[in-house]
Amino acid sequence: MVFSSAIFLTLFLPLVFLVYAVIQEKFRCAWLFIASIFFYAWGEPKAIFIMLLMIVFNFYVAIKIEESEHLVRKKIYVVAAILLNLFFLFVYKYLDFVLLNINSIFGTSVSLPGIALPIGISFYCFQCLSYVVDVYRGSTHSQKSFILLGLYISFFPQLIAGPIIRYTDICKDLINRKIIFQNCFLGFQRFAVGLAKKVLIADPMGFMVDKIFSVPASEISSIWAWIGIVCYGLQIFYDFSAYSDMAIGLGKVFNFNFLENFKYPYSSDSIKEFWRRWHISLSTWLRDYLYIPLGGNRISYFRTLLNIWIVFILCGLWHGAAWTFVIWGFWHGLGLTIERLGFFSVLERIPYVFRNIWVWLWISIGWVFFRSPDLAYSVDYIEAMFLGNGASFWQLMQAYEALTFSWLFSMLAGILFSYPRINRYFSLRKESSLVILLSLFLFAIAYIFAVTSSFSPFIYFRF
Amino acid sequence: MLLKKTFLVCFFAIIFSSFVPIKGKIPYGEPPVTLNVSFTLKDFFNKKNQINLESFRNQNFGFRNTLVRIKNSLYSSVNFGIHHYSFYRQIVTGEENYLFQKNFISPNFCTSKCRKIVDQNIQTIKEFKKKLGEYGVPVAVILLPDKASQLRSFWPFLWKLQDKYNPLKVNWHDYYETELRKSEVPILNLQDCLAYNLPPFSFLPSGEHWTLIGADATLPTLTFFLSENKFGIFNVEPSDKKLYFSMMALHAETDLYDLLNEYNIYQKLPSHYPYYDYSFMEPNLANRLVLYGDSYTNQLNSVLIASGTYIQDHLLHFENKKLNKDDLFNILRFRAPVILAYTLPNLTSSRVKDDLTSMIAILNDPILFDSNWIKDNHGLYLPSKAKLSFLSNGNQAVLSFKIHKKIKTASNLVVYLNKIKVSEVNLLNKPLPMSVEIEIKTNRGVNDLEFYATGATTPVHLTIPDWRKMSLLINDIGLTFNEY
Repeated sequence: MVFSSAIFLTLFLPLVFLVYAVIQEKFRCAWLFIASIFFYAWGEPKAIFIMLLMIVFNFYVAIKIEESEHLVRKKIYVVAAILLNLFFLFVYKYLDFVLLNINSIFGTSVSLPGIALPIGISFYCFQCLSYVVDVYRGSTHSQKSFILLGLYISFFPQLIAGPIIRYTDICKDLINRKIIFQNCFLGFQRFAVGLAKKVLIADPMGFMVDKIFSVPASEISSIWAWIGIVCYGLQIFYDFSAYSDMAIGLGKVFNFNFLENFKYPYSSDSIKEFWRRWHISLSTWLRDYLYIPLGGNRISYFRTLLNIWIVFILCGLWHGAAWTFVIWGFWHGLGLTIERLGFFSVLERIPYVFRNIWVWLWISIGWVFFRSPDLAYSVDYIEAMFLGNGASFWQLMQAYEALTFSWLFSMLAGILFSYPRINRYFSLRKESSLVILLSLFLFAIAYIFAVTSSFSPFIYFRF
Repeated sequence: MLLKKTFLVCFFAIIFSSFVPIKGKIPYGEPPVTLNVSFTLKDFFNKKNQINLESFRNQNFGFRNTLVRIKNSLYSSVNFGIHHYSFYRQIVTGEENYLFQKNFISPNFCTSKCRKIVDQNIQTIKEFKKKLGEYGVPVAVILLPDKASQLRSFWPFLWKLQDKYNPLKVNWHDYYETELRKSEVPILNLQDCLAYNLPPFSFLPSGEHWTLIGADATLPTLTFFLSENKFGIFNVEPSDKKLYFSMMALHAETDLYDLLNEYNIYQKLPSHYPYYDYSFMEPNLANRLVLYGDSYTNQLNSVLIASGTYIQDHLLHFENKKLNKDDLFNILRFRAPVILAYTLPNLTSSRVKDDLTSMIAILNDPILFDSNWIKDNHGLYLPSKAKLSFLSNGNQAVLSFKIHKKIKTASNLVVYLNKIKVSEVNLLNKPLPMSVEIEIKTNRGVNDLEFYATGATTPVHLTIPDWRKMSLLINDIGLTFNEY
């Protein structure tokens, strides 16, 4: 069920909220848990058992970890939990990929199981991992209520496309089920803005991107290649940040305070800063549960670089089982390495505009790998960006349909709102009459576009 | 606080407005989805319920039609901005505020320059027809109608004057018709046909959406023409028509049909203007047809399908697209007749010539290797099997090639022509390179040669050739046709 679909907007959301508001406070967590299970089962009826199994398993293991007095036993439990969670992730997400590569390298013909990827498994698997590790580290107590832990893992606003919520961040919110008018207002307002971002900016960008990426890369001219990739950069940012806005907004409505997932990443002036602002819940997760345990930057210079590369290549793999994602992660690792090797000190001396252009350039080339169906296509596409010829007649005709004023408007709005200056004006005046009316207007327009358009899933659903 | 409450009330009011039932009968659109939810676990787990409920909800919510119109109007008004900006010089306002695109009027007064271009176009059409004729594919030309030619009396004043008194004006449709008839190219001028058959009020001063109605009005003539020229259909008399609109159809089109119906009722004419609904029509014939040309072909495509003259899969429609080798070979493989259809601006520009020249260039290099072959500097690598298609006018030919390398396990190379085995080359213990020559009897049109290397394993598809995965390295492939 997509947040921007008619079924969610007009049936699921009002029903869940109204029942939530009407029933007694003590039943509200259970209701949200049931609603979340139903929400997931609606789209993935068979995969619901995997998620329930993971909830049950992590629920008991966390209690065992906390109850164990011996460190060795605690370690055994936590390692078992980590392995089992990763096993699920591996089987459902990476098994086909690994077998395909084994067949290719060793000339074997092991048949691929072709297991369908359950939506959101990467997100809730990471939530489970962070929960058991936090309990092991003593950062938090284990949850004794199955419903509350189930709600933490399966809560529908963040279930299928994040942000990746840490248990430590919301454990207090889990027991506070009061309805606070101010939170409802702020939550629905944030939801409205997110919906508008999705249907008014991300979808038009996606329309153009699909047009351009449907052309064989070797036939794309330089200018279209750049337009395509800038549009894709905007599409993925607005698509994902819109989903995060809606998730944070819905969380707020039900009295959960989720941390921000994006802080104007395209306004960064270095790749390092970009990763402090892009998909924050994932980057901080990788920092806390992978980079720091690997030694972070405390061991040696060489080891720091190695750790960065490990983290980013795994970050790429987290996004999908394909070499394009690995190369994407590698590309970002390379960017950070270049900056660490002295380029950062050069960047510090040049004006912000050039630093920002450097980020756009590096990130955009990275998006080519992210968007391309295979490596050969991405290489051709990058070649087209820098060495492409003029647009062919056919290509112009293809793009003509997408090149409209509404696209231009969305593109400009997309670039403009990628920077904090204008946003800051609005975020400081969330409760002013102008901003309230504006968000209502945006919701009305976005609602019209959302319910009368064809199906348009969020990009991050597939991860 | 009041404003915040208002926000929340409005937020939910918008959402709950979806529960207001749609009033009255929906006169057009896709057949309404009925709610058919069964409360069984089986239907839930195979997602039947979900799909049904979502489809139902997508089409049944309060004010749906109004919201679709608002969305389309927003799109139209916003996007017309760029249209107006970029084509500002192309749009002119005629008498009674009729809007015209300049390039539909100006060719009428373009004489020597256009004549040169038009002659080149005609020459290319003849060449194209001859070329396809060699492979048994008929070609016809359809001159598509346009609003400007139909409404000459509403042209901007100065052009109207010119139209009346300028002796040099040329009717390019007539010119094409005369010249192509001389060369026995089947031609249909829908411009004249439309003038007789278009329902009243089809052209609205502000409306551009006459095209579907225009195509509908000329459909009987078009089907008669196709039938007369034996272009894959019997004589079709479309009957019981119902207009099919997608849910996202521009409201101007549906409004126009409403208006025509209202007019018929008002005039006490015998029946409503009929609507298409092709879901109830049986296709008349299964043969294929290629419709190639500019944007208006989209409308011809719609009515040919809507009337049941062709089914979707059999009407190969290429609108504003240059064909690649695969497309062209497919057309030739089906021996599907090709209809070239253009409107006046393209008929009087080099567009026709450009489109056809690119196809003629493909026909002059008539060998197509399928994607299984892998080429590099050493030659062509053959995995366990690969296909090669070529065009022939039906003569005997000699297929020759050299085998430079092979993997150990490859024992035989079997060659099939149009699914019939024509040769089997024993590869075991033979010195390489080895020349092979095979005499083949070709068919007229597209011929498919299939190469099978027995004893070789099917490789994983690789972008970069890996010799270990290939069965043979072949080179110097040639086809020599015997003269008649």
